[in-house]
Amino acid sequence: MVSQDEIDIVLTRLEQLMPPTVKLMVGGSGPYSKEELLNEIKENTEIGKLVVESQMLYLRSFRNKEILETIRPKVAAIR
Amino acid sequence: MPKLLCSMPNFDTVTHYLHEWSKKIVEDAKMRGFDVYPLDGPNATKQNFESRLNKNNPKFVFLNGHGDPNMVCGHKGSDGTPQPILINNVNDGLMKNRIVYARACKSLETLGRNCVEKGATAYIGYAERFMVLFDPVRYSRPLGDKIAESFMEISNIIPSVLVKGGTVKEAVERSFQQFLKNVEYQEAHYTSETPLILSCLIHDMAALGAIGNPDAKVT
Repeated sequence: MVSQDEIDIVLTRLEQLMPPTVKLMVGGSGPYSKEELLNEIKENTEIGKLVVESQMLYLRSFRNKEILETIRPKVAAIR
Repeated sequence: MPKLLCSMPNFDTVTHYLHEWSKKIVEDAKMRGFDVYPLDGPNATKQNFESRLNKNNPKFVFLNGHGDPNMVCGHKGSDGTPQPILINNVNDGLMKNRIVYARACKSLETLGRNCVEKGATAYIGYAERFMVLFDPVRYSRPLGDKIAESFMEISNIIPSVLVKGGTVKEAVERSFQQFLKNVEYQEAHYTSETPLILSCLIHDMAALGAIGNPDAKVT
């Protein structure tokens, strides 16, 4: 679940920071240019939400590096 | 002699990048004495996949392509859409006694778990979509795309560790350690791409996981 505040933060960041020369592949969707990605976020699509969530996780990890430890991949042991 | 089956569809941007980076693993495995069965491009079909499994019985199955909770796809069909090669509750039982690494979206939690419940030794995959930032100028030479390299290198470590004799647990841990190194590198070499690269790297790492025997080895 992403809030409007988070959407606004990520839109502002990407508008200012994302270079127009790169594209993003999101699984079988895309690739997305900067403008296309911004539209996905504005329209609150599944892809837009994923990008907002990943940006917010990154911003939180920027302030607190311990967050990176929480995403250490799990091995669910079933023998 | 250890055996590797590697599906390498190649028909759109995503599969093109996965295809080119998979070549490194195929070559590495050959150098290490593996019998390698690549399902390259249009040969990455369900029929060829099942035929190779039954005929050659590879212990390590490395899948590249599009995916969802119930399937991993190979090459495109005549209608242009990705065609499934490993399907939940259809041919997932064929993964019995094998270690699977699916570099594909969303297949870990449902398909992966069912494969293991039906006898797969382990299934390494992603619970979410796999994100890759790339430089379109480098499309014809993905191995020279420094932006995409950050993503592909981390995911290539998993099959690389396995063909070198590492365990499933070691493979995902080494991938995580490389992720941490890449984060440090990106922060120390900050460019305009850095914020998006880092957010996507974090997303991919958060989606990675494994189910099955953590101590299992391919060799």
